[in-house]
Amino acid sequence: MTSQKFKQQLKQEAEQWRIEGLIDQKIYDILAQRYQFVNLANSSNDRFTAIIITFGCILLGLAVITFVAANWQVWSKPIKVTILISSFFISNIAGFYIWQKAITNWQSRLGQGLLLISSLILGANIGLMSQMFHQTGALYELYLIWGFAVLLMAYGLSLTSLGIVAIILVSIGYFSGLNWFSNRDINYLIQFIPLLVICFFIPLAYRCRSPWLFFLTSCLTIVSFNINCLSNIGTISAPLKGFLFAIAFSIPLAFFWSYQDKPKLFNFNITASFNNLTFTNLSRKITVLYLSLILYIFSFNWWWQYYPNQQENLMSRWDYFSLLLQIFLFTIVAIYWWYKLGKRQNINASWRLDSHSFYMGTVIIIISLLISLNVNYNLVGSIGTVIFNGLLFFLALTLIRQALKSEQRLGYWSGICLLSLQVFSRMFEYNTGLLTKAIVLFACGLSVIIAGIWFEKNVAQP
Amino acid sequence: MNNTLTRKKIPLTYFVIPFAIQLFIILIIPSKSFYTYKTGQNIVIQTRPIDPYDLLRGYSQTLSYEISNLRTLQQLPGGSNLDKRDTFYLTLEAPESLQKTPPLPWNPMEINKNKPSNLATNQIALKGIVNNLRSINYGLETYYMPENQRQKINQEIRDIRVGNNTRQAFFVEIKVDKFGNSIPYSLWLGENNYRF
Repeated sequence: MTSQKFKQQLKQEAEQWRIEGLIDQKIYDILAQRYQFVNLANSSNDRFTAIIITFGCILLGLAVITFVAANWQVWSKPIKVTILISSFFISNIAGFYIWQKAITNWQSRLGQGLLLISSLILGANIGLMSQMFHQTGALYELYLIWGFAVLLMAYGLSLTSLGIVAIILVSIGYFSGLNWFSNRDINYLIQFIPLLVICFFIPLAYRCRSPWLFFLTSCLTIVSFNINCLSNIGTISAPLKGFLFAIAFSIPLAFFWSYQDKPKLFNFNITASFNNLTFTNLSRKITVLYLSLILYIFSFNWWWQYYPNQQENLMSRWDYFSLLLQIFLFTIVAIYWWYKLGKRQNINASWRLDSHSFYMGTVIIIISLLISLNVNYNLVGSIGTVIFNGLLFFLALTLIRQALKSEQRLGYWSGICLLSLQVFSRMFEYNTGLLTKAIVLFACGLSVIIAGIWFEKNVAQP
Repeated sequence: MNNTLTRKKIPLTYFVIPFAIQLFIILIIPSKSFYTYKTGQNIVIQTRPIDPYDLLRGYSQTLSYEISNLRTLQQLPGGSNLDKRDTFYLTLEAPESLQKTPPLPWNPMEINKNKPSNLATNQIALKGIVNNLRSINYGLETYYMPENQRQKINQEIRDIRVGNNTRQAFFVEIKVDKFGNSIPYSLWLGENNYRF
């Protein structure tokens, strides 16, 4: 399939050729027809219009929210309520109407923009109602209610923009609901966020056909799963402590690596077909990103030498049931998907993983073993540092090798960056002399430049 | 200009149902407080304020009361068994005179685990919950105020504190409904009454 960039360049060139007389109007028209030059101009204009309208709508929505927060007294409460509720009505109905009746693209964008404002005005309304009666309830509850209410509308209208607003609001609600510095109980809703997010937002990503929504949902699921597991660490003792620590990292890795989409399961979309919609590749990219982050963090020597393994006897603010249930569900699904990964099309062939999955599976097992041994008994020491650095190095090399094979720029540069980051970190960690630092920096800089130029010249696709 | 608009046709119900639920959420949030506001009886209690800010609802005073202290409550009849996560009803009794300015605070009398049914006419029951930190939540802990009045009110609070008259100077007038639910109604700082 030809890229937008190529079409854009071809259009410019074709116009030049026509002016110079290299091609006549007829051939130009054939090219214009074949590569849809008209839509090209529109789509770049549309994108610009979309950005401007979205930006303006977000500012307008924030203005309404700030107005509520200012608690202005010149207008009485009933007037404020009337104005806010009516603006909620007007922007919603006008937005839906304009969007549905749109003839041109900018009208459609305007309609979507108004619906985006409505989702922000919804928050202003919730805030005003709570402020008016001086309700003491925690702010994170309002964010979660707001987020899930916007999610409903995102489902109804299959709009990515509303889905993204919803996931941002739920993220804010989750992080502010953790109450890091207080001793309060953690709300049930917060404890179930990994499960809720994956159940409610992944189908929406399919419904909206939005990789961004899938990416944000996966990120929030992974981070919240990690936090929920690790927040309980201080309250339990070995060997469960190490087990939970290992699970916190290995389950999301296993889950998102083996992720298999079932678009048909979510096939309630009324407009788009699901024929070739798949997020499996994206899910694997997210897993690799997450794996590199884990390997990088644990490649520091400090963690293996000094991690305190005694129980801290903190009082748990969490409910273990919610945690265990989620671990159980994620594990069961991951095991099933791994089983399916190894199953081959030929029914008689024995169960076997492909080389990538085999590598990932081995890494997950090594990571889990080493981390849990270290957390429980401080047994690993420097061997852990060496192994994790080795794995990180190997991952960077694999990324580069794969990128060379498939001529993908992103993988190649990720590998190079990861490798450089590792060298830098080790150099500063072990406090080497300035001369060594200078030599390493020089060598790294030079090799990155040479490798980059070589790749762009010899391998990369335009 | 040739526009190829890929328009999604959404059935009206797909819009109306989420919209109705959103509207319902907006209205359900204040419903309990609205009931308390309309049917509740006004009483006055002693407070100590501090001021935070939240993005959605603006500036507020965080209010802590004499009756927010678990130890104070444990000294009352029926209060000795109060523990974390308990819900209870605090009986308050009206002061001798209700006509003074600033008004006199109501006095805590006793604690009950269930709502007391035989209260005297000058008594009222206020519902509270002991939280994990061993302090008490009545739902009266926050009072939102306009940005432009915040400085003035904070200055007044500082002046009263400097005047070493804190015991008598801060009161919150609240509304309590027949179920014991309460909302803050107005602030008394010395002689001045503020209601937002």
